[in-house]
Amino acid sequence: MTRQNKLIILITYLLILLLVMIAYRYNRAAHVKRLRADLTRITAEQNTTRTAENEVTRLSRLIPAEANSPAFIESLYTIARESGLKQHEVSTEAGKGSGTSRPGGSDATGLISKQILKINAAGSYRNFAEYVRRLQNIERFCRITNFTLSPDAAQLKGTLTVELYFLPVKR
Amino acid sequence: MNALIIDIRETSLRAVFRNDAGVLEYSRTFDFEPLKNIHGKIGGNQETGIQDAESDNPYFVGSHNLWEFELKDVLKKIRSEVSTSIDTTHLIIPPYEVITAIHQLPKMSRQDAEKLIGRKISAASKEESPPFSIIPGASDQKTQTWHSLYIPSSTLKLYRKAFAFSKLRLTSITTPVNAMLNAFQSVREAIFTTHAVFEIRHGFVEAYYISGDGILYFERLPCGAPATTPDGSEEESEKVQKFRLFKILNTIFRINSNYQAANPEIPVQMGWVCGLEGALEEIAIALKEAMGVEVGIAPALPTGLLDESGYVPLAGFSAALQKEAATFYSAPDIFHRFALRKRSGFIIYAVASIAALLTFTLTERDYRKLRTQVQRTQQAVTPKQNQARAAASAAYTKNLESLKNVTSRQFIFYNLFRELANSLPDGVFLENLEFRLKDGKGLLDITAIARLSDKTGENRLLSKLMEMFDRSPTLRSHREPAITVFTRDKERFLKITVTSEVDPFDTTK
Repeated sequence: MTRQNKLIILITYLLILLLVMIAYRYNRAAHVKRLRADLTRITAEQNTTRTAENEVTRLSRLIPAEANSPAFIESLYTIARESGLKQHEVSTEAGKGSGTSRPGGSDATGLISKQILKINAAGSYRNFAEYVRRLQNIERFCRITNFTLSPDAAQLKGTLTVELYFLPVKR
Repeated sequence: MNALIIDIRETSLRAVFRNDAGVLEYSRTFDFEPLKNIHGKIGGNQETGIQDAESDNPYFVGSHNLWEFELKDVLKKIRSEVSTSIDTTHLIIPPYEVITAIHQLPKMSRQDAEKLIGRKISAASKEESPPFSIIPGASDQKTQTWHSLYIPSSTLKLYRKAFAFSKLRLTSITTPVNAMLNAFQSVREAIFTTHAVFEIRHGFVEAYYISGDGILYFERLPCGAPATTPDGSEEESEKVQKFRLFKILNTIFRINSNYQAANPEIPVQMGWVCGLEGALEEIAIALKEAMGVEVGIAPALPTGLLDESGYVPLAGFSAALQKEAATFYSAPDIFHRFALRKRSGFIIYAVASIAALLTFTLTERDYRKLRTQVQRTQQAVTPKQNQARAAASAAYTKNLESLKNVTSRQFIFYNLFRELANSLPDGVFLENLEFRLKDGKGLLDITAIARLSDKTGENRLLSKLMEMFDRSPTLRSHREPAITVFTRDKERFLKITVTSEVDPFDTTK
């Protein structure tokens, strides 16, 4: 094989290699571009989903799927004791829950429901202030719809109506 | 393939035409007036070196000179006389354009000798890849003589340019020595010592002492014989003819003497005469008697041409071209500028392949990494949730806005308690507090009592109380107070009831 032929073969090889590499890189660049676009889209979707999930998680902590009023009432007694209130009583109001068909419960699924609690207690102004502060700091969301504070003998008598919310979910 | 072979000498231009069948069907000689007598020889007592004959070139002066126009006319005539088309054109360059040298080297292979001599010529000519060839000469047990034939690239380019001017592209260029060796290729195997070939042309005798594997001696001398016989009596013509023969034979003897002096141990085995001279037979007879060896008239094998003895080198070159055994001289093309050695070639192949492999590997790695990342992200977007969780998630998502609305508005009672405790004017006591939520709006009835006295006016209790309500950040849009007086334990009290909306609502929870 002559030197010229060797050079021709070498240059041909290099040119073919170059062309193949250019074509390969071009092809891969197109694939990479598409993958990056997919990744951006998926990441955006993921962020949206994550934000929604975080919001759902936060709301599910505030308004759980089950009323679980006994536990809540127990926590009310606890904070009443810690606040120094006396004669603390909590009772549910039958038939006043949103969409409920039986006392203290609800069969409606997929709709926001509430359990109404009636609280009576006696204590000082400071006791009630602390009690209400603690009540509103409970993680679970509840809304005070009525609050009456009136003098009773040497102390104050308080009456609160609290709505405890939950979102029944069909299992 | 039709081929035109042209041989240019100092005094003539000879042309033969070979057709597709390989038969020489045309031959013609065009005479020129010699511009300068050029002497040249290979072998003998020449010192090893390169002769620069370019300066002696009588034709190539300037870009387009008279010779080029003359060549153009000659080629035009040839074209008109050759009926078929000319596919390729080959040239036997004039001997004075060839720079010859002798190199006595230790015994080595032809390739090694070629490399060695090539380097020497390259160093002397300053050409990176000089167009040259080597022919083996005499040898003994330890040394080998090589004849180098070198044509400068510039000379080759000039001839190509001259032929291009005549609309002919030169396919190949060779030297008279190579062409003559080709012509005697068929008899070289039978040569034991040397054959002397004398080519006699108008005014010149060229002698080639060829051996079985190369050439021993070459010399070209002007013989000084008159080219034409003057018109006159028969006696006068015979006298001139004898004088011509004498001059030619005398020149041949001079050349032979030079050869014998240079190569005393290699006798001439046989002689050949050829050329454009008409009295070849007489010369052959005279030489046979004088040299004592058999003398033949070349070519050794018939070529079919009418005056074949005058075209021996052309026929030899034509035959070598057909057998693809001819020696060419060409200016180095671009490929020769990049000498590709085995090692450097391997390195280039290896580096290019490794670079390509590296590029491929890195690109593929990045691509696969990105693809895996996309797949993982895709899987993370659609996790396998259990049915209950999915249902709960769906319910919350469905009621998301409602849930946000429910939880976003909350009145913080502790702020009100603190404000009342800190800001209630002295002498005013909180009697009753009633909060109710109606249609999402919180309404607060605050009932306060104050002891009624003579200084109630100066104390401005009512105004201070209302100012407190006005400044309160938690209360707004309070209505006019309802004020009554009542008696308790024989004391009179003012009972002030204010209804107000609560604000703001905490939005953090």
